[in-house]
Amino acid sequence: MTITRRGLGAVLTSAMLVATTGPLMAQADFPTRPITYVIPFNPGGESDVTARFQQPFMEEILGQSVVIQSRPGAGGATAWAQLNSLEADGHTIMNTIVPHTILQPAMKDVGYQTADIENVYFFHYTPDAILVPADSPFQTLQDLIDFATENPGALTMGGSGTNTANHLASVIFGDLTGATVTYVPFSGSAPAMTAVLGGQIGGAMSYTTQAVKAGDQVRALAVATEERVPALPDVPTFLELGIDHVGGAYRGVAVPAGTPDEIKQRLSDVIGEVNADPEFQRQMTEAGYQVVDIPLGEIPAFIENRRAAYATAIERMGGS
Amino acid sequence: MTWTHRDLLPSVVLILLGAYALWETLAMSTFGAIFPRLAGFGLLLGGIALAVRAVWRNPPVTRPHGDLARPLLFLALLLGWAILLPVTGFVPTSIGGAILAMALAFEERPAARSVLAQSAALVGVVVLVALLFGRLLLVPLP
Amino acid sequence: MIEAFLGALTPFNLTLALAGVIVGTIIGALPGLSATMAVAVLVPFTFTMDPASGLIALGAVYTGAIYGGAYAAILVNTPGTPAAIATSLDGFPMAKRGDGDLAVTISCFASAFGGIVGALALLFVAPPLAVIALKFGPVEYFWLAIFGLSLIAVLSKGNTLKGLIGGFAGLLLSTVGSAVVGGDVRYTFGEPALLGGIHIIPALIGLYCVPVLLGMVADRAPHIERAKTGGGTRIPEALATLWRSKVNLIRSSVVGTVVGILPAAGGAVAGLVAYSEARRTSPDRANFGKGAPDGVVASESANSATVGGGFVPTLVLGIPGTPPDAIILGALMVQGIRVGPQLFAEQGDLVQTFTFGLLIATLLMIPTGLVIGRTAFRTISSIPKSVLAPAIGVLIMIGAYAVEQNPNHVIMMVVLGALAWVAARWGFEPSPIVLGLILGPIAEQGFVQAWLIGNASGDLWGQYFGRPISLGIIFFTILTLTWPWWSDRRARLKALREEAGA
Repeated sequence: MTITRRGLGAVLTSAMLVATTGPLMAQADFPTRPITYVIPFNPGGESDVTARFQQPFMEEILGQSVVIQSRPGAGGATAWAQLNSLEADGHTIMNTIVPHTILQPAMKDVGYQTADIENVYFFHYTPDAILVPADSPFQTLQDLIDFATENPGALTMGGSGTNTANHLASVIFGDLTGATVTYVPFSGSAPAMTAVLGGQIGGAMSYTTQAVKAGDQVRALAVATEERVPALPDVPTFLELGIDHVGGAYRGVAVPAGTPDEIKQRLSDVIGEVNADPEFQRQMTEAGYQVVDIPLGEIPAFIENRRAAYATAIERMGGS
Repeated sequence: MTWTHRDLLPSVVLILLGAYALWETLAMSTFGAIFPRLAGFGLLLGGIALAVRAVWRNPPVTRPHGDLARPLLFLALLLGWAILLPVTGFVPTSIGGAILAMALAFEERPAARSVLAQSAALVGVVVLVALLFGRLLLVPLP
Repeated sequence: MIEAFLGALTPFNLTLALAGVIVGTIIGALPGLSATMAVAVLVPFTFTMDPASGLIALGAVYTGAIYGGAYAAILVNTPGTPAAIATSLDGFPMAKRGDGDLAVTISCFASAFGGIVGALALLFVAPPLAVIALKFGPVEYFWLAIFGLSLIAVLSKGNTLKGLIGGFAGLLLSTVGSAVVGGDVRYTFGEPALLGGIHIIPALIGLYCVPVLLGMVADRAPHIERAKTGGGTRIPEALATLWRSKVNLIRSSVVGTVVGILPAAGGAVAGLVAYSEARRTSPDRANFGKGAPDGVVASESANSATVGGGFVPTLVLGIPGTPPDAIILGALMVQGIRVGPQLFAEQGDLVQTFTFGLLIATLLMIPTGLVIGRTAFRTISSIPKSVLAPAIGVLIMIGAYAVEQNPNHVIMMVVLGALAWVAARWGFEPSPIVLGLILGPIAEQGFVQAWLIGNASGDLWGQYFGRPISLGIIFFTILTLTWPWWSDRRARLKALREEAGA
């Protein structure tokens, strides 16, 4: 009798051991093959470039290669709508952007809802920035606001797409300052910048990264950060000028629904580790990206916060 | 109405297509509707012009040669091939598709030996392409 | 400058250039794989190299791919990349009548010439040229697109009405999906798969290649005639053609360079404009579309010139001149290279080494192109259709899928192919549809943007019609449209005068 009871005990103990260490083992084993990092935009864009910055660091920490895949379409909506149909074992991750993933479902039927996207980390943002050509008569943001208030609609400001981050930023800007500008949508940041450089439009509602790229050819009038951006030390923040606008496009990583929680946490930790690397930070800030840390635990609050911040503007733009 | 007015069928299709396109533009914003309306009108008017010309002038048309059965089968094959790709994976589907395509594309009745040789060649092509893309170019295949 | 030249001649860089051209040519030749894809796929490999070498590798692949597109265009009537659309107009008829090897050789030399012109422009006059890129605003793009669309009417082989209808159909197709301006979601039937619209590469393959495949199956005749003269490369003949066509060659190369400089306008537009101009001014006009070598010369030299031309705005302004340039730009950013006017000032040698590398790659294209071309032609014309058709089927399946790893694209391709086949039976060519598809977005965005700007400044009319470059383009459009009428009239007047004088 003692033998079988001992035997039973042994079986139970080993079963318990397996049950508790099983997930741990899976986590320790993860990843077991190369990771696919899907970017919903064309190569060369902000999402792609930052992912490529992350790539070598991630590969070193994870011990597996990270393959970057580009899946553009409909301003990112095509990929985000497909996210949850991908394998949910953690070996496929996708780049996400806020406000895009909040705006798009609010404005029309894009095949996914904001809640469908399971984000694990937001690791940087590109702050909104108002840019004008170097030879523009506007020396300060106040000049621009004055002009736009006196001549409503006469000032043309370009941006990438309709119902996108740039568009949203221009609506918010108008709400906060009372200036009325005509937003001219372009098929991407690059065409908008071309138009600014060529003097076709008065300015652009763009990102700090574009200002850094264009160098002396543009003048940034303000940036939407808490403190001045290191790459653009002479440019005041909106806050300094009395306008309460901090934000931009927050980029992060998401996984398909159903990915085990331990794996999500591991991915979140890994990205956090990459973010903490000084070399990585240097690459990002030099190009104008603001490194930010919103790990897995803080994501729901972050999304709610952003949703509230955009609410009035979304209503103004005709969405729900 | 004789069926020798071959352009009548396409013109009817075009008129319907143009009308549909225009109907959909009613739900669009002012800006968004401009080019679809342009295209819709173009198709509509083009279809009408085509019909008028067909009835009035009845221009001589050359009948495209060749039978219809094989191309239609081939088309169905391509469609099935495309739909099955994500389901059954690139290599198996393509091997099947290629062999079937070969069967449809024979110029004259083939000898058994050449059938085997050609099938082998096609299998080789599929494998080569799969390797090229999957390994070398790192494009994940279904 | 000498050091930069020597820098490009290092064994490593030379190998890169050679390998790049070969790989690029093969990839570009496969229907469904475009130059953009070729470059995108190879970018990761360049991260381990120093910037100059990486750029040379990417530039070589790009050059090879643009050139390689001609093979599929000539031999299978499917442009391997959108840049080769105009090549197929005369290249394929040439192949059908047995001159395929000549067409391939001509395109090889023409491409090399065009590529060299583009690279030289990059080397010597890049910064001033970049200014041109900036002068093109939304209005100019709109008129340029209209010009392109008007070419449809002129280039339709005899059946203008059907060509125009095809163009409108392409225009309609281009509006499918979510709009850049206005944000409407159009013609998607509620399908999220269609939100991104009709992608050009699956459409290109579907509209061109599928009907060809179906034709192969329907017809008992061999696909293209075997070579008349036993399959040599017919170099002397090709060179003679080029010499005869030298004005065309030079003009097309310049056109290609300039169009390449304009962001958003790539090889397809360049080839088309050059082709149309060649046709307009050629004494051999009637043969265009039926296998006129001049057409191939024009198209190939122009599209290869866009490689060098496209780098001008890319390197000087940081704005990609053509889609592959966008990818190369990203690669540069990751390497830490900042483009812009500072690039030329601070890292002038980098730019020069790269440009020399590009020149060398273009020159290397001649021997590699001839060899690959001869092999390609021999192979395609001698493989029995029962192997050729399925093999092409495999390629287009993966080609349509590989662009964005989207299985829906493959289905899109087949559906469009079916429509194109039916349309062809009714007498509608695929080229106008494809052109409508490519130019539609450019025209629409340009139009609406110009409207917004014009409205904001209160000068709508002046916006569309008051700008010098636009007026130039409008003039050219009208000229091209009415030229046949003009030249007829002139000929008739001349005949009358001769009669009166005699």
